[in-house]
Amino acid sequence: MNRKIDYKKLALNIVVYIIIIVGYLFLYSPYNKDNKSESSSKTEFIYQQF
Amino acid sequence: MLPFTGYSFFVVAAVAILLLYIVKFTFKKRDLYEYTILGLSLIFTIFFFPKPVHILVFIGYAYLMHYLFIYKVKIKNKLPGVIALTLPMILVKAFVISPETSKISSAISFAGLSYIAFRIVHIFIESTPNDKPLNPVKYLNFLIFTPTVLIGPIDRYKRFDSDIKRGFAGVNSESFEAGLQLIVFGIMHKFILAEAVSRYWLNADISTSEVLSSLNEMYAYYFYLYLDFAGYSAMAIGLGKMLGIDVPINFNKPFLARNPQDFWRRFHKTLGDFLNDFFFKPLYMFFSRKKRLKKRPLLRQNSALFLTFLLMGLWNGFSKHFIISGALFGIYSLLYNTYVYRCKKARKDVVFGNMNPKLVTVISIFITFNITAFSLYIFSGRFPFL
Repeated sequence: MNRKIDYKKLALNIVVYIIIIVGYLFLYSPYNKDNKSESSSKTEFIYQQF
Repeated sequence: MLPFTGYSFFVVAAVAILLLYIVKFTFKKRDLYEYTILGLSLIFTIFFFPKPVHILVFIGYAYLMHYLFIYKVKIKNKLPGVIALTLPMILVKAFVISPETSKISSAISFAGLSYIAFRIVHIFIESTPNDKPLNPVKYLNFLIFTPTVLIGPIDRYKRFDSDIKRGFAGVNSESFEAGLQLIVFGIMHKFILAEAVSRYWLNADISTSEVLSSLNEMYAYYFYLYLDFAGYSAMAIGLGKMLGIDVPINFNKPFLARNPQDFWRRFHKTLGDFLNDFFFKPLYMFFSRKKRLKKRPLLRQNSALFLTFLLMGLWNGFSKHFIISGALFGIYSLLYNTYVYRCKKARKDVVFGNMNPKLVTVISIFITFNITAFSLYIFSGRFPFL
């Protein structure tokens, strides 16, 4: 059975994956001087508050 | 390890999904689904979640209190039971204020305490002595379900149980695909967008005046909180779907909210629903029974609204920024409620008159966006003038 391609969903997925890949390479690269491991502890602090 | 906070969690989650599919196709027994989900959640709680003994002891205590107040004491007034159930959380929040007692607070506290407290309270309020005794396996399964254990979305016991009862039917290729999509969406929100906002906007040094700097931080925090929390919620819903549980949605474009009530239907919706069902409605009923308030419906509604949000602030903690933030949300809600009441009575818009409806919508969104951002900024404890 042929599955109809949802082009809108496909385009959205492509954009999401591009953002993740580019964002990851930029934010978490060892060459990025702002790449500190404080993020998770900051997140935990927010969750403790709720 | 907390859920959805690092790579290792996703590895554990992938193994859990694989195990669930292996059990599904190997044994093909419907009843096994409940025990598989419980087993997976227990493994995560005991071996990976911080302070597993605390969480299990607290659930044991909650079950005991539930049983005692519903089936033994059998009093109609639920308040003593609610106080008994939330006592550990109240102590944690009370002890954290003073530096001398904060060590006791951190010793008895554990991640997700507030959220588990929300859920044990709702099960308690909805139970009656005529109900069948609460099944401890189902109770534990609901409370420690890994995707929602830490910060929600706040699911409801009966809804969760209906998903459990359908067995492995909810574990299929469609739910896997939908779940994966939500997890990817959540990863983008939490690990990329929220992280970028945090590094390059929220925590960036901008040398302007204190007022402008605070204003900038207020907007940055709002976007950061939304991206982080909505991302977390999307991943929780996604993983829930992959495990066969339809966790309720928690966010729906909160920046487009037109009024405070609309905001709580869009931002952390499950908390908004919880507040409405278990804080606002009982308070409103309580005020309705008071003779003096019988002929004053607006005062009844506004009092219940204000107290609901004040209690929400207190639930977060007894620090002044939580209390003021809750009180502010209460003031916004009662002001909006008064506006709606006056409009209904006057049969016209008492503030905007005959203004173009589209313009009214834009103004409403702008006002709601800014006042909610301000309240959340106070909630964050970052507001420098407090």
